[in-house]
Amino acid sequence: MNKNRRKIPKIPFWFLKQIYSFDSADAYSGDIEEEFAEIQKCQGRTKAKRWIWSHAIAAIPRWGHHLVTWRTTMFKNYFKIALRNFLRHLGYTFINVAGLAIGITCCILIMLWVQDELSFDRFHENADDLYVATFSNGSKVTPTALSGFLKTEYPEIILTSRYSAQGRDLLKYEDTDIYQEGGVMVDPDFLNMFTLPLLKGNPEIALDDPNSILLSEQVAKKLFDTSDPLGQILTYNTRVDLKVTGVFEDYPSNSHMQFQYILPLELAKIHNRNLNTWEVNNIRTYVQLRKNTPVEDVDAKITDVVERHRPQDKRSMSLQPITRVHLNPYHHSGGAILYVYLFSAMAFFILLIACINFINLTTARSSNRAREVGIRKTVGAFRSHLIRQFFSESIVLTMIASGLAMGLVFFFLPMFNSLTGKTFTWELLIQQAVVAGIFVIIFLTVILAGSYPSLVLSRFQPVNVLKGGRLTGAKGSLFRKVLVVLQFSLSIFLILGTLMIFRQVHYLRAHDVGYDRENIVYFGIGSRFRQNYDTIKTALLSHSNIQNVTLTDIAPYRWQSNAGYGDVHWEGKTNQQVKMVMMNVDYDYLDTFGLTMAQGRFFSQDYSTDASDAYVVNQAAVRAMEMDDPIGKELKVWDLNKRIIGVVQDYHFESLHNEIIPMAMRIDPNWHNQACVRISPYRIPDTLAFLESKWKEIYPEYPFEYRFLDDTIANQYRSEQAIGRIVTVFTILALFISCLGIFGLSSYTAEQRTKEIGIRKVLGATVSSIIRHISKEFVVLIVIANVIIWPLAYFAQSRWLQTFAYRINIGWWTFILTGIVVLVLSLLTVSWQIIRAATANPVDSLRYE
Amino acid sequence: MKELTKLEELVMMAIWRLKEDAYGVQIKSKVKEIGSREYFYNTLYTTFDQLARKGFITKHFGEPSAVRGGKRKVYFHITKEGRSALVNAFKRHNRIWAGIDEKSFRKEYSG
Repeated sequence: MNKNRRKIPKIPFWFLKQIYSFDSADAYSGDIEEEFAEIQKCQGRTKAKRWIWSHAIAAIPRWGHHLVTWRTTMFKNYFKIALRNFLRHLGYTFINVAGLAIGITCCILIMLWVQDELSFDRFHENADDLYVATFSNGSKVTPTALSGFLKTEYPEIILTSRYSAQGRDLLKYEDTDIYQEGGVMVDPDFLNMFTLPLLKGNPEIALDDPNSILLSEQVAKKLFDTSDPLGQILTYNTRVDLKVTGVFEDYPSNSHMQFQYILPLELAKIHNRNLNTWEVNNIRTYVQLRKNTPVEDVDAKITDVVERHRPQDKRSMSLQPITRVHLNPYHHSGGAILYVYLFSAMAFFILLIACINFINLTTARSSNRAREVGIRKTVGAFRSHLIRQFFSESIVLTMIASGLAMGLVFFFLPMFNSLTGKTFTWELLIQQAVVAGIFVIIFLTVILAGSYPSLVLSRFQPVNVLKGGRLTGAKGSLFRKVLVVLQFSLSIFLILGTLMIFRQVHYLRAHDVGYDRENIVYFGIGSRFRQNYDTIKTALLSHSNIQNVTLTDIAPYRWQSNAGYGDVHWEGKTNQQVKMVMMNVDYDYLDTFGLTMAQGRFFSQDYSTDASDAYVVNQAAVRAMEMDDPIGKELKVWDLNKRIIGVVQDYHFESLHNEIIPMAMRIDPNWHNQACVRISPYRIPDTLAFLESKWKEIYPEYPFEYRFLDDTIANQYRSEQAIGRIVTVFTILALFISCLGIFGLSSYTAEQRTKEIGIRKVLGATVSSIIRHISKEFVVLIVIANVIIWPLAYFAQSRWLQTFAYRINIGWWTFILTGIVVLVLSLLTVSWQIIRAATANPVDSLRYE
Repeated sequence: MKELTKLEELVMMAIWRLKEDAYGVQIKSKVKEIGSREYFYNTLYTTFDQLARKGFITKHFGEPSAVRGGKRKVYFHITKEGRSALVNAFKRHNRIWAGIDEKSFRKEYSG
């Protein structure tokens, strides 16, 4: 105890020891201890402690200064040496910096994209408590009665709102009228659940009156320009007067819901829509749970909620968080999340490839630095100092590359936007999360690129290095070869992936969909058109360039199989479970779309019964019902009992992501809301002008808006196409960086082996035999890379293709082709340097022996 | 000839006055006594290193002792160069202040 009391306090003593560490450090600390002991003896321990503490505290500024000056002195030296090295070997520096800069640029761009994808719907204050009711097959189309039922029956569910997208409406204010996309009908609670700041109006009452409308800032500006929209009366679809009760801030684009104006759902009653029924699925249901309610508990309770009210619908119900809707549109699999993974992996690959360049070039050329390492060690550097030194070199290089990368990001941002269809601005780059991300990327680069070379370079033994004699970087050459193989494996993988995506997209676009989709114009129609259809049709067909006109409720491409199925019964049904979709067509449907009949006949006006008592089904339906002779059989879909008069050959009425499902067509003019017109490919503008003039005769108050079917179909595969383009760009960059790397390595090899090449030439080797000899090493590596990655690529490709119902075969020729292309490309890269070395005059390389 | 800074001069004089007993603790208290200000060891030792580099003092090791945590003392001695530097400093002082007595200087300065 007594002895312990005499001891000097450790912390201030340690601290004081830090500030003097030179020639007489021992005597220095001895002096402190002696004086401490003296004071303790004469004035007591408290005084002594106070003495040492006060000195320690007084030394803090000194210590800081000391720390900074010494570190910076050393860093200044490291920095200077690094810069000299960079400048002396400008070519290699360029390869390293360019590779890293491109890698970091790719990473930053992809990170922007990934962050944007992950940010979907996060901006809602209640984002964590908001869910959308989802059927087990991923469908979010629910009965209208569900919302009210959930709210009253389950105390965990505090707010609910239905959500029904409207498509387009005609909005008219005084003399301004616009067709506006993006209308939704919701319940008043919608404004309390979702974060939707109103610039004008009171969110508590804004949707209470059924005849009210909320406009986005953008739409309000279109309609009212600068005047105050609040309280003004709009005419909605020429029929109803609505009062503007609010203007909301333009809704962010990173949400799965997109709308420009909001209407109260009650308004739907003017269309005689039943808002409280379990019979049909036609609306989305959003719910808000009480804070911290485990969603699994609620899921367990509501799983059979629809089945209870409509026993024929066996699908279970669960709640999907709204923050996942964009990423997993079908709830449990697929969707944008796949691309998030894909792109993140790709960003990492590219960065890795760039870092491998740095590692390979630095370690291969390590012998250049061996002498420096030897001398530094001899004059007293520890290995840790050298590690620090080489690490700071890679930091300097990475910083230069990062600066360059930031410039590239600014420069390429517009291009990236057009590639991805997003709208990133440079302001985004100073957002907290993005800055943090960029720092993580840079940090990762430094670690990946810097750690191994600094360990290798600091390993040299001074004795070996300074004794003289040649040092090669041969020790690590196996490791370098492994890295080159890895680099090229990744590049080949990306190339194979790109090829596959392109082939698949092309296949989807060129695939025979079973109908003629060229030269079809379609547009929406209303009851006035339907009522006068016969007259209109005759008028239209009188034009020489209009070949067919037909009406339907939905054009072929537009069908979404999750829109709901009908239950089916037929003559001789045993116990097959068959679901069928129903289409309402017209007599000209077959000719307009160029469909072919497999059996029986299509609807015809010659048979009066066709309008009321006839179905035409597709072959898939016949197969599903296991009918041998379907013609004349009775079929009941949606409780409608009719006779089958014909079987149409299967055609793709959905996108090619889905298989052809059983379908039945009937004639019911009440459902027709689309007109499809087949025109001849000549003088299309004239034909369109004619169509518009006819349209104006019927609907003088509505503008004529039409689309071409093939455009719409092409749009369906747009996401695949965009992904394809992005993947291509990044693949080319990855390959480019890899080639930069072997370019550096091969030029170093050529440099190292100048003498060997000289001797070979003197002894009679030809230029071509030398090139063969040296490039053989690289060729072997590329071949190994191919062989290793093929099985992996095959596996990954078949996984991706499984998401398509109609898909290409993975052709082995793509593998061979890719292998050859990469091999040729890398041979070209490598031989560039080797040819130079091989054609040089041996006298130059050998004369100083 | 290298000039001595004020602190160096102070430390040299302390060493000179201490003769054989010139090591850290003693020098520190001597400096405090004649310079009427306390310097801490790190300052002093930096000065020692500086003086040693200039060749004005040499050092040799003494015996370790328990009270010093088992560390040796380092004794400092003034070299020939050191002595002449001190003489120079002394002469310089005299030159600077030659012919001035404190009383009249003080009077003149305040007047």
